[in-house]
Amino acid sequence: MAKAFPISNRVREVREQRGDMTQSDLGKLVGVTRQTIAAIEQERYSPSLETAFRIAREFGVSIDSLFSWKEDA
Amino acid sequence: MAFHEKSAWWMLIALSVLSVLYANALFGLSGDGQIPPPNVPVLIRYTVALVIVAVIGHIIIAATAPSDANAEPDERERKIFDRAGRISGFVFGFGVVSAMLFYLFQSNGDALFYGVFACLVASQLVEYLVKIYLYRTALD
Repeated sequence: MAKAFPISNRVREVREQRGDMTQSDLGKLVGVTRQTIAAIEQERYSPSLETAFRIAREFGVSIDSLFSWKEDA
Repeated sequence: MAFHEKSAWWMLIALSVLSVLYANALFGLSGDGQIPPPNVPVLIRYTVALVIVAVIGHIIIAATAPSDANAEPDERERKIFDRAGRISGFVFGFGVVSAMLFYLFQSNGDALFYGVFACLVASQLVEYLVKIYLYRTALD
């Protein structure tokens, strides 16, 4: 059974709004692999605080608009 | 699939196949059903074959994605490696202690050698399996 993570995110949504940015592109920008970006987007992995800040910075948004705590978790 | 996951798959298959061949070679040396003493030429052949197969496999994997092969493991991969290494260490430690206890009661040095050797192989197989599992599942 898949583990439910308490942190949800909008990384895929915001990345897709960028149009041509792939998971691989984002991974290179923030210093992780494409597979790790995929895992973050699918909520199979919660990134470190540093990586979360890097992703938010690349998108030019605040970290709390990208990552949020699930109240029911 | 990430480079390190491909590597784990390759080593899992290579180590499994070669270990079965090694065990078969040992049983071939045993005429009366007893455990034969450790055989250095067979062990050297097994080790050299494993190194060659590992090197060839990694060259092929790296050739398909050179940038992935040169990249350092990222934070998620380091977590996967740490967890796999810890579980593998438990398997090895438990096996070695069991082999030593067996030696205390049986005083069979050959069995001790094979027991420790089997634990080494088993712990590596467990490490590859855990890596593959963690690459494919949620990691907290």
